[in-house]
Amino acid sequence: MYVYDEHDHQIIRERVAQFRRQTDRFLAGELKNEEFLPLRLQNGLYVQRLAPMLRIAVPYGMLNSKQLRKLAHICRHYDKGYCHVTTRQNIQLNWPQLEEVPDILAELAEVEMHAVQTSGNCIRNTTTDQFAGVAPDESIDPRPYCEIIRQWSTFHPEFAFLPRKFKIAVCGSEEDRAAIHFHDIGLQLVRNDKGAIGFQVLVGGGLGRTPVIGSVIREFLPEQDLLTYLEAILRIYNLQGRRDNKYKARIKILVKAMGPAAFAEIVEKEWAQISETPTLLTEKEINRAKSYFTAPPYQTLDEASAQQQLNEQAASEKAFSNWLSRNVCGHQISGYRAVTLSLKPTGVAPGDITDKQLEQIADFADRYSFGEVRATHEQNIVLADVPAAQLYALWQELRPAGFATANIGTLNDMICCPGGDFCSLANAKSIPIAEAIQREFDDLDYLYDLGDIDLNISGCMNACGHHHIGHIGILGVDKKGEEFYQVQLGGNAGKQAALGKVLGPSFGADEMPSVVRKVIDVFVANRIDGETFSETYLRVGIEPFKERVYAKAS
Amino acid sequence: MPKLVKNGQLGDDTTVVVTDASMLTDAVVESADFVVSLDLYNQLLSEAPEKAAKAGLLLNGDQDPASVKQLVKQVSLICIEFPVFTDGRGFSLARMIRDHFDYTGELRATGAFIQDQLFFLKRCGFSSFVVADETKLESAIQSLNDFTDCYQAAADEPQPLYRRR
Ligand code: SF4
Repeated sequence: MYVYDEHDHQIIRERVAQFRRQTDRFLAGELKNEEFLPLRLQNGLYVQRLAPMLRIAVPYGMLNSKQLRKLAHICRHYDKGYCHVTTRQNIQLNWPQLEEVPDILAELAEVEMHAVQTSGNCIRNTTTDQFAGVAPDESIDPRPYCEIIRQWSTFHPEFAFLPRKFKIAVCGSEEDRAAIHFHDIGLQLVRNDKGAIGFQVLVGGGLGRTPVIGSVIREFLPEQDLLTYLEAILRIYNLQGRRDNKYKARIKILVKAMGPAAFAEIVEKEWAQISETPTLLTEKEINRAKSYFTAPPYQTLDEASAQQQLNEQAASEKAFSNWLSRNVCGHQISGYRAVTLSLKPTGVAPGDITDKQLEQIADFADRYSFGEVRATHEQNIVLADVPAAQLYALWQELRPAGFATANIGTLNDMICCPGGDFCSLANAKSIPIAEAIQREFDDLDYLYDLGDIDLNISGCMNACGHHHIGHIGILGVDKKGEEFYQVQLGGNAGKQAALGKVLGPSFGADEMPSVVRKVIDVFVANRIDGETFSETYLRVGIEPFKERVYAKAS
Repeated sequence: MPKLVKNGQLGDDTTVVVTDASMLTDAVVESADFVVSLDLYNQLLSEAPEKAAKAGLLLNGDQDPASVKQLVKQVSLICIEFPVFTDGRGFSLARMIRDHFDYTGELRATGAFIQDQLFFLKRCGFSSFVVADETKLESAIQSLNDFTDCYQAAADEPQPLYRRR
């Protein structure tokens, strides 16, 4: 994991001081509300329905146990004893006091954390695969590049007042777990035929009101050119992106209007002028970044005997076997596994986590996984380096702590934004819908039989719950002041990137569990040979679902 | 009178914004610093080159940066006006003028920018700033130095941190 040096500490400390002064000026009436707004947003501070909300950056999802304990302390001392894992791998506090935010930031700085650029019209936290560095299908670890991008984008003087927010995601594996097709810039790490590392560059993807799948504007960008190229893209966007209409200000609209080829051409033209500047990455810097993401001191473990033991434990205990098949996945190092801690037990808002639980996770990380965890964009927590032989012991500890719900990847592991319970932009609540669906599908064996299904819920068009790219997407809509829900089918966040199609007219909250039940029934009735939901959907299309869900009661 | 912060020094901002050729009396041309829009500058170049020679340029982000490329060698003052402080085009325009066009004269920020942007403005190559509210001067000068270290290369520091670490 990256470790701050004196420069990093200095910059973050100065940021805390800067924000403290801005807050003081605001409270003293010397800084106008509309001027303070973008300044506090760029420090992650929103003013929400009930209270301010502080979004803390978790760069590409990585956290260590010391940071988890600090977060627990902050939740307890400055908030109501819990926080929320967001769909962009960050952590959100729901009830901080504005006057105390500078103190919170100072506490975070002590453990090399901050809330820099977690909101506002600037370059946001770079996200990646939660299994980076351990995924068996990974060819290149994306994290050193994420850290390089983090540093470059932190207080970039030219790009702090963009037309709109700007999100970058990096993927280094076969399967895309970072949704790079749906970011302003998506970067796929690749090797060219000479074995050199570089990026395939996608631009103009995004969700929100106008969901768009990103376009490839460059097949191979050598790694050392990363920052100059990003700078060229951002400069063109900053100068030419629309500023007259907030809903048309994202880069996707610019790329669409110009066409990806024409956009690529002006980027290349700008890039030609800056590609040789000192912002060209050095080999030394790339190696320095990589030096923080080397393998932890793995032991040499006997994979075969560990696997045999797991088989025996699984055979004698069904609940363990379920957990093993849903919440545990493979690892690059033999004898190790990556474990997902489910933050989606029925009855808890998806992604919510208490101060005590944060401390428990810190302990698990220290004892089982080299002191580190990752926050996932599906709003769970990953222990990435657990010895297979210790899985049973870990599982026994996770159960009483509430993290062992064996539902990862199932319908009940839904992505869900805070919605109308917290968010002032919401059209409808989302958390109670998630819970009602979880209660409808309370039979775990049935859920396992259904296989992997992404169900994503957003409380409004802003799509923080990524509803367009759920296999089943649910969107809260407002109809004459009442909360309704639109259903979409067929979205896909991965390499088979697809946007969901609207099923038809929307439903009331109380209808939602039975609507999802009908959708699942159609899948089960049409499914051939263990197909996944999205395979069946691709084969049969949306019609059978429409027919069933909107069938008149006879 | 609005104040001008230039090289850390304080002064009055006496620059006249000339919006029409008829405003350019001999008195103005002789006695004052003045700036004109790009269109007016081009008009002066053909109609009254001696006046153009004394004029500064006033840009606001609407212009295609390429259209000023040739002119920057002839002027010693360029003002970039921020129509609203959230309009960040001026930051990129400034960098292009400094980095691509090698402009070495005075680059002044005017208009609706706020003091909390001063540090970034400076980094992008602005060398002077018009501060409308005199009471905020001291605080503004402090904001110019919000940070002592930066990650990126920019107009004020050609080397990114990773080449200095
Ligand atoms: S999708 Fe809408 S309701 Fe949900 S968190 Fe985002 S802005 Fe709020």
